[in-house]
Amino acid sequence: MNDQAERAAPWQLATIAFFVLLAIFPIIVVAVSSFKLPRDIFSYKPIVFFEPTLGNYTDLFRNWPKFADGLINSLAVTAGSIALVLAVSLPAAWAFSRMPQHGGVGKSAMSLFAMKMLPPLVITVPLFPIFSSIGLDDSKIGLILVYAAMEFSLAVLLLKTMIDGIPRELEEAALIDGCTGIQAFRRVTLPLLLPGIVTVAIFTTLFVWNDYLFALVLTTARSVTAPVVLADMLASIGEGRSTWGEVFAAATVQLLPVLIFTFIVQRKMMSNGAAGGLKG
Amino acid sequence: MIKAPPKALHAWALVAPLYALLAAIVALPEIVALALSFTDYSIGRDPRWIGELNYMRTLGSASFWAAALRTLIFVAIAVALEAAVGLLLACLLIRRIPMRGLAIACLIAPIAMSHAVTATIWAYLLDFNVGPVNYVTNLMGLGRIPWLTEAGTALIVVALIEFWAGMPHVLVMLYPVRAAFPREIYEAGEIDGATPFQRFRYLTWPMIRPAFLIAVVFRIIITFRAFGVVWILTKGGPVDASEILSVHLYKIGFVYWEFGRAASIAWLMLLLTAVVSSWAMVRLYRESFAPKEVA
Repeated sequence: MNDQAERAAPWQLATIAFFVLLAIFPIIVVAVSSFKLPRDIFSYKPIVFFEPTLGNYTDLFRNWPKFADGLINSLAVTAGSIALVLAVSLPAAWAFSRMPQHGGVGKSAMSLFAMKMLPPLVITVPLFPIFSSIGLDDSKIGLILVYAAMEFSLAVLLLKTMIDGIPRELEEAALIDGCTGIQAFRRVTLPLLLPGIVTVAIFTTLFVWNDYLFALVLTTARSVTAPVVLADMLASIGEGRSTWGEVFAAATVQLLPVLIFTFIVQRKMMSNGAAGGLKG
Repeated sequence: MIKAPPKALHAWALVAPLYALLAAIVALPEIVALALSFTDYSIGRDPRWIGELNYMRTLGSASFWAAALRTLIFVAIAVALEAAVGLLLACLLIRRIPMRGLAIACLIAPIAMSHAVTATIWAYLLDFNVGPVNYVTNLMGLGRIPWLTEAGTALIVVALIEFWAGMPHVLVMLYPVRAAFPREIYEAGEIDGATPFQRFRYLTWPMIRPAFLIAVVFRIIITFRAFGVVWILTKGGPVDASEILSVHLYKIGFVYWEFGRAASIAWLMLLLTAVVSSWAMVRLYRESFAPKEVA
């Protein structure tokens, strides 16, 4: 289909170029500036050519050990959330796809969409006192539970749609060959579901690694994640407790893995309209 | 031989963990919030029942309605731009352009940013002293502008940043839909001598409209709850010039620790979201479940 597509007119190319620059230029400025010396960052005139330095990064990890801890917490919480989302969503998606008519299970999925519509802030207000009273505040487990709950509806919907596309005869054949139900699922369905599982992992990572609100409200010290530390650092510039250089370095470290990830999987994101619909 | 469990039990067992966690993490807190909204609960104090007083105070407070109006402006600016630009780009990117893959990757890059990184980027670009944007406006003879600390511009500027961060989402939702249109229908249009505008108006628009509406409703719901970027950049300020409802709620809950009142605002926001989203919800449910019910 690409071969037949019409060539873009000059004004169309210019429009695309404008929005490409608008999207990417701010990100590049900050990432590039993280390798600048303070005098180049603070120069009145923006400097394009400069002597690159890793000084901001060494300063960052020397002056802000909290940031390194934040990265480790972010990593642990992201991994934990992916695991929990998949562990809970896979069996549920299978049930929604294969046996929706039994006991009204299919109809109950309506509530998933309702849950997805709840504003997160509305959930955090009551969650804070509840978590405090059962000791789940400032804990990675608490964060993982919340993040997973927020991602369930997207994951279940996506996986259900994929399972719909896998002929149930394949599973039935495995059952006839003597597999148990779980074995049939693991050996036949699961490998075919891999693209869907990867997509769920992508969306969960984007959400959890980047979340600011839940981490801000539900963590205070031990489990603070990288975005919260970054926001804290940005606020500290005015008080002289951090520098723009350190903040640029922290922002680059926080965004780079996800940015590379997005570049790699952009094809996948652009080919899944339904998933895009529920993201956010 | 053990009798196999009835199918319904089997099905419910598979979805039980899902509903148990959702009940504990999402539904239960909502009910607690509803109960709290009728009390004067705050940290370190036992809740005392005060009836509908919180709702009366919230609905009677000028700052609540001012925040609601600001939210309306914020959502209108951000979503209108996101929808228009997202639709335009989805239609343009379908054409033959050099380095299309790279262009798309760049266009959706802001989707990978956390609110903290987005706020950092724009805090620097718009900084009064060191920011490149002010360097340019200064060169153009407009002088330096305190974009985020001036009451007249703060709300509009955070709405534009929200547009920057949210547009890729619209593009990701619309581009696959547009790319799936068969080329033949456009060829027929060309033979009939349709202008590009007519082709959009009579061929593209009717087909993309359902997806476009879904995208707009989603962005309204998501932008309505926007919090992180605004909170990090302005804390709702200067004074309360960019205090949208989510920031208003956060301040009452976690700055003044008035949980009872915060819960009442939370529930009002919830009801408002429910009104907007029920349409999208029913529609999505039908699309993904209805055809399978027969099976």
